[in-house]
Amino acid sequence: MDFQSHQEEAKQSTTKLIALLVLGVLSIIAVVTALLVALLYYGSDEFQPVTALAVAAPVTTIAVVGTSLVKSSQIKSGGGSYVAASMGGRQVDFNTLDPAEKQLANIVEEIAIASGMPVPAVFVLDDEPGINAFAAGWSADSAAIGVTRGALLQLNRRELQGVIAHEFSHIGNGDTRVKTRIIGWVFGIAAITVVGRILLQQLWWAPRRRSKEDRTALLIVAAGVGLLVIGAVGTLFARMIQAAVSRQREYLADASAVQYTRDPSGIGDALIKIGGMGRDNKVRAAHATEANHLFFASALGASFATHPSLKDRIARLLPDWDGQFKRPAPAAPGETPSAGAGTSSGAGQRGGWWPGQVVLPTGAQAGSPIDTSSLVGGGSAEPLAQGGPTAPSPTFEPPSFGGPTDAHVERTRTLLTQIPQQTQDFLRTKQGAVAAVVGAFASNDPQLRPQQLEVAGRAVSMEPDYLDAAGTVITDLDRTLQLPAIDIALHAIRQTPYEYKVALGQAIHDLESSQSDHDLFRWVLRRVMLRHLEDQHDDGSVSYDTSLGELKVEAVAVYAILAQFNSSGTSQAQDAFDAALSAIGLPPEPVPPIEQLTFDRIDRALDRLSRMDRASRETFVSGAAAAVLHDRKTTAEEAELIRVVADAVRLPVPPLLPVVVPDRADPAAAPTVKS
Amino acid sequence: MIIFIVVLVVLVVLVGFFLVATYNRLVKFRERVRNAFAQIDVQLERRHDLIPNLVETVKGYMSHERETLEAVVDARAAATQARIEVSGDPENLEAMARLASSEGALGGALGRLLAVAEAYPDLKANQNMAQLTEELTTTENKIAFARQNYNDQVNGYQTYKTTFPPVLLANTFGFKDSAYLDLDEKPEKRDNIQVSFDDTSPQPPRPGDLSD
Repeated sequence: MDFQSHQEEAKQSTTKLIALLVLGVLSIIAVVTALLVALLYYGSDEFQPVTALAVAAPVTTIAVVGTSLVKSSQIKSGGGSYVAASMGGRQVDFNTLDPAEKQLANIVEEIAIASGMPVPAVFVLDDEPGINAFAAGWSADSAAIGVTRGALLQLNRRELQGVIAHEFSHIGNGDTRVKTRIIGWVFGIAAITVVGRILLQQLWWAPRRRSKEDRTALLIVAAGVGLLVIGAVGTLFARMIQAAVSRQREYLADASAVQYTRDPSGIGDALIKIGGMGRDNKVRAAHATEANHLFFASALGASFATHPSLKDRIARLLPDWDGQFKRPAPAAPGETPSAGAGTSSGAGQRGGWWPGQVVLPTGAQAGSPIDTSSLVGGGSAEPLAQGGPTAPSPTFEPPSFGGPTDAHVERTRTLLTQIPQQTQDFLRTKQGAVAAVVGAFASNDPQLRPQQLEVAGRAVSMEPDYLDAAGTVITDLDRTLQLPAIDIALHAIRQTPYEYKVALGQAIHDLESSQSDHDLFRWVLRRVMLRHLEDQHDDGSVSYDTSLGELKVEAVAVYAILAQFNSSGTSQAQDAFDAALSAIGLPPEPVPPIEQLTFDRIDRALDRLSRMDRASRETFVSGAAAAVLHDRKTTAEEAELIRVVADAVRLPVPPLLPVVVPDRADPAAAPTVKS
Repeated sequence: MIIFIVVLVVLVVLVGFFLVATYNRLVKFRERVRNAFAQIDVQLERRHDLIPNLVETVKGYMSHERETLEAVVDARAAATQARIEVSGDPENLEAMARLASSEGALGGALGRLLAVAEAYPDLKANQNMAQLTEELTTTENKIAFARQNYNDQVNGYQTYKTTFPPVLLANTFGFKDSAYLDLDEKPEKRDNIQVSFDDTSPQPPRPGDLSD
C-alpha cells in the first residue's frame, strides 16, 4: 500500500475509535444516572422517578464532562516548550556551531518546508542515550520537537530526517490535540471511581450511627460500590481505546513521514536500529510514563500501550524487510553517525561520549615539543616581542569597570583576529574545547604530564595523545591570546551536558592539585575555569555582602604575590606593593616574602574576595592593576593577568587598552601588541 | 415584463458574483504559485552563495581537478544569471526554462565535484568542508522540498485555470501559464559516458543524496 491509503486507513480507524469513546462516555453517564435515580428513589420519599432524573442527569453530565474539560485545558496551557523542558530538554540554538545540532536544525527546517508548517522549537534530551524523539504542543505554532542525544549520535542523516518527519506529522495531523482530548475523557471517567472511593471511605471513618440511619448507610455503600465498578470498567475500556487511537496515530505519522520525505527507508532504518537497541532504548526522564504517548518509539519497555509493535511498523514501511534488527554500533568506524559532519570516526577516542573525533588544526600534534617559554612564565617574564627584542613594551591603561566601549570592542576584535581561524573553529566544537582546555592545563613536567593526561583522559573519555596535541592549540598561542581562546572554549563547554561539565571540573581540579610547577598566570586561569564550570549550577545562594575593609589581609596577600610576580628585584616589588596599597588607601608596609604566599592561601583569599560587594571588588581590582602596572613596563601578558585576577573575583573587565606612548613607540607598531 | 426585468437583473447580479469569485480565486492560486517560487528562490540563492566558499575550500586540496572546479564555477555563473532573469516571476516561461536547465547543470557539476572530493581523505577530514557539505546537503533538500510544494501549487493553478468557466476569464484577464520546475540535469547535457571495465571512479550521487 502507498502512504496515501495508509493515511486514509489510519484516519478512518481513528474516527471510529473516537466515536466508540464518545459512545462509551455517554453510556457511562447514562448508567451512573440510572444508578443515582434508583438510589434517590429508594432512599428518599421526596423523589419521584422524574424528579430524581432531573437531579441526577445534569449532575452526572456536568461532573464527567467538566472534569475532562478541566484536565484537557490544564495540559493545553503548558505549551510544547514547557513539556519539552519538563522532560529535561535543552533548546537548540539554530545558529549552533555544534555539527550534530546544526544538522538537526537543518533537518527541522527542511521538513518544515516539506510539510508547510512553521519551524517548531527544537530540544535535545542530553541525558538520554536511547534513540527516541517526541512532539508536543497544542498547535503548530506552539509546538516543540525533542530528540534524544542517542538519536543524534546513532542515526544517520536520512534516518534522522525520517524521525523528524514523523514528529512533524504528529503536529500536522493534530495528534497532540486528539491525544489531549482523550486524556481528558479518560480522566473524567476515572474521576467516577474516585468519587465512589471517597463515599466508601466516608462511611468507613464515620462514627457509628443509630439504626434509624442504617438505610442511608446502605444506600451510600451501594452508591460507592456502584460508582467504583462503573468507573473501573469504564477506565479500563477507555484506556484500551486510548492506546488503540495512539497506535493508529503512529501508523498515520509513519505514513505522513514518507509523504514529506518521499523516502520510506529513512524512517524504516531508524526503526530497525531502535529494534536493535532492544531494552536499552528506555527513556529515563521522570515524566516519561505520563508522556509515553508522545514519543517516537515506546518510551517504556512494555510495548502494550501506546505504540504498535516495531515489526508491524517496519513491515508497513519496508515490505522487503528481512525481519532482522540491527544493533547500532556506537561510534564504530564505518557506521557514520549523524554527527559525521566535522568529525572523523576512529582512533583517539574511547568511551561513548563523543560521536567521533574533531580534527585537530594543522600544527597541533601529539608529542610536539611544548613551547615552554610561553607557559613557564613566572617572575621574569620577557616583554613580548614587538618589532624586535629591544622594542619598548607598551604600557596599559588601568582596567575600566563601566562596561566595554568601542575601543574595547575594537581591541577584542584585534585580539580575536590574531587567533588563527582553524584554532577558533576547533575550540568552538565541544570536544575540541574540552580536549584543548585539559591539555593546556596539564603540567609541563615531562614526568608528570603523561600521568595527568592519562587520568584526565579517563575522566573525559579521550585518548591522552589527543589531549596532548589539543592542548598545544591553546598553549602555542601567544599568552595575550590565551584568555580570549579560553573564552571561546568556555562558550562551547557551556553547551555540553551537565555530567561532562562535572567530569571536566573534576579533571581540572585533579590537574591543579597534582601540579608542581608554579606559574601564577596559569594557576589563576585554572581557577577561573573551575569557577565558570561551577557557576553552571549556581543556585543563587551566594551573597555578595562583605567589604574590602573586612578582607584587608586577603587583599594584601594577593597584592604581594602580584608585586613579586611582576618585579625582578625586592625594591621593585616593594614599590609595586606600595602602589597597590595606596590605590586602596592603605599605608605602606613591607612586602611579605614570597615563601609565605602559598597557592593554597591565595586560593582561599580569592574565594573570599569574590564575595565582596561590587564597589569593593572594583577597588580591589584597581589595587591589583596598580601593582602590575606600577613599573610602566607592563607586558601584554601582565595586562591579561589583571583580567584573570578580576575574573577570579567575579568582576570581568574588558581587555586593557594599550597606552600610546609617542616618544617610545616606533611608528609602524604603535599600540597593538603583535600582529 | 417586470418579471423579465427582475429575472434579468438577478441573472446579471449572479453572473457578476460568479465573475468576481472566479477572478479572486485565480488571483489566490497565482499568489500561491509565486509564493512557492519565492521559497525556492531563497534556497537557490543560498546554494549560489555557498559555492564560492566551497570552491575556496576545495581548491587547495584538489589542484588536479581544475576542470571539475571550473565547471562548477561556470555553472554557478550561468545559474545566477538565470535566477536574476526570472526575478521572482514564475510566469516568465522562457526564463524559467533557462533557470531549470542551468540549475540542473549546476546540480550535476556540484554532484561530480563532491563525488571527486570523496577521493581526498584530507579534504573530507577538513571541518570547513564538513560544514559546507552539510550546508549544501540541507540546501539541496530544501530546494527539493520547496520544488515539490511549488509544483503542487502550479498543478492546482493550472488545473483551475484550464477548467471550463475559469478558462474564459483567465485569458481575458491575462492570467499566464506557470511552468513546472524540473531541476534534474537534462540527459543530453551530460558528458558521454565512457565505458571502461577497469574504471573504479565513484558514481556521482543523485542530487539531494549528497551526504550518504
